[in-house]
Amino acid sequence: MYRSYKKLAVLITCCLTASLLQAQQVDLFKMQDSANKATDKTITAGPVINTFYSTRLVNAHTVEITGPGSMDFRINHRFSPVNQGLYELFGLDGASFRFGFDFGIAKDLMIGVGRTTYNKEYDGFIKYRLMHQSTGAGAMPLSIAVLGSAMYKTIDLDTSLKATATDRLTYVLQLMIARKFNEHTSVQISPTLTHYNRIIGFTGGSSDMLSIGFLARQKVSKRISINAEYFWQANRFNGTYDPLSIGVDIQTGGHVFQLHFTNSIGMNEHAFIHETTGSWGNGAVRWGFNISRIFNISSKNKKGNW
Amino acid sequence: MKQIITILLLALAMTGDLHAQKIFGTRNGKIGFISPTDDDVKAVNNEVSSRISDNGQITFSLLIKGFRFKYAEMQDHFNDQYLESTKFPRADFKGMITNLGDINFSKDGTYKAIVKGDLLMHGVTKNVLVNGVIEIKGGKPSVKASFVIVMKDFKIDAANVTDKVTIEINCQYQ
Repeated sequence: MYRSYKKLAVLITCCLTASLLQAQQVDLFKMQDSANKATDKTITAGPVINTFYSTRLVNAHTVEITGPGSMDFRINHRFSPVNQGLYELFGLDGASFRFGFDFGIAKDLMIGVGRTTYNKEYDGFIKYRLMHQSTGAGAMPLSIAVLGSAMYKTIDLDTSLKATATDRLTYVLQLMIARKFNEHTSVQISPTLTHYNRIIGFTGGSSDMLSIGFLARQKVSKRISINAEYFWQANRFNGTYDPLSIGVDIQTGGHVFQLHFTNSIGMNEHAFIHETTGSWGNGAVRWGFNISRIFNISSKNKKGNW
Repeated sequence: MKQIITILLLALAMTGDLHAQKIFGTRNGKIGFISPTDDDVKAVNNEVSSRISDNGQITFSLLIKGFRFKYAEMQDHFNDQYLESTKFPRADFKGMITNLGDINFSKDGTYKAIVKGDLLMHGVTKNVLVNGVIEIKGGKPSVKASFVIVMKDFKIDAANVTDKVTIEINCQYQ
């Protein structure tokens, strides 16, 4: 008898639970809210994008890497110094430029080639991002990239110099350490080592030169930033100055227009860092612009994949 | 003993009457978008969380960073400048099926559904009306729908890219 009472109790409980279940419909909206709340903590994790708008600030490389499968066609243009007066239309009559093609190879790897008017130089580089600043658990505080580049002068040199092909080569090794502090402000420091196989056209200095670059960008709107770039040289050629450039980036999606004033004529590493003969002090500043246009050249991305 | 049988029968009758709420969910639903004017402007997110219930509720939640583009640069611009995914990491939809009577979740078939609800994106909530199709197959629903949103409605300043995009939803529920 006692046993059946126990069974009875169980049954009653079951019935009550069943009717309770019926009354309590699950509210998907509340479910969604609590699920969202739970994922909120992990949501911000990920790499920090757009430390800089482009892979170059003015002349110098930034920690940014061209996306894999993309080709970046870049035109850098510098006019003559503005202190040449009206006769030269404040420098606009003269021109020096570099055009180049950069290729994104992998997520953190890019290469590029280019050709500069100054000394009729060809250059090639490889840039690898060692570390990507990120947020969330295990966040990286900095982005770090390394650049190796080689430049080759093809300009006719005085035959008395007896310059060989190796003499015309210059190498640069650069480390880039950057941090995006917030949506607006990013800063980069670039210790740079330049090796001249032979110094041609300059006196003083040495065949191994050390410099440290300081790059900064301050966004003033979603698509416009103000940039500054300065390289301090530990040792220098006679009659050269530290390069200082101040400019504006205008980002239009696919294109980046960079307008600036700089005292450098060169646009590849060794030329703009160590061979800047103009001085801001006497107005030997040039107006210049860079245009970057990204093309997608990868065949991996098929159309209609969704 | 007689009592027990009575109660047992009563309980059975009650449970038979019970209409258990059916909830279906997925964590890898697909939501994509494409610009009607520039078919390069398109992306897809394969990690959409969504639930649907036979009480008429339907929800979607996704991370803006989960949209994959053809161009890495475009994806960066999308996150950084247009959707500002650091500030507004998530898009969220909560809606009700307005013609619930036309849909039988326990019978295989294809049903037209009209869903009305709130879409939260880029920090802006807007009421939208979406026409879609619910297909029940083997007791499991799938949802297909497409609708157009105007970027300006969500305070997304993408005028130099596209004014509006077509959103395409494709979710298979378990």
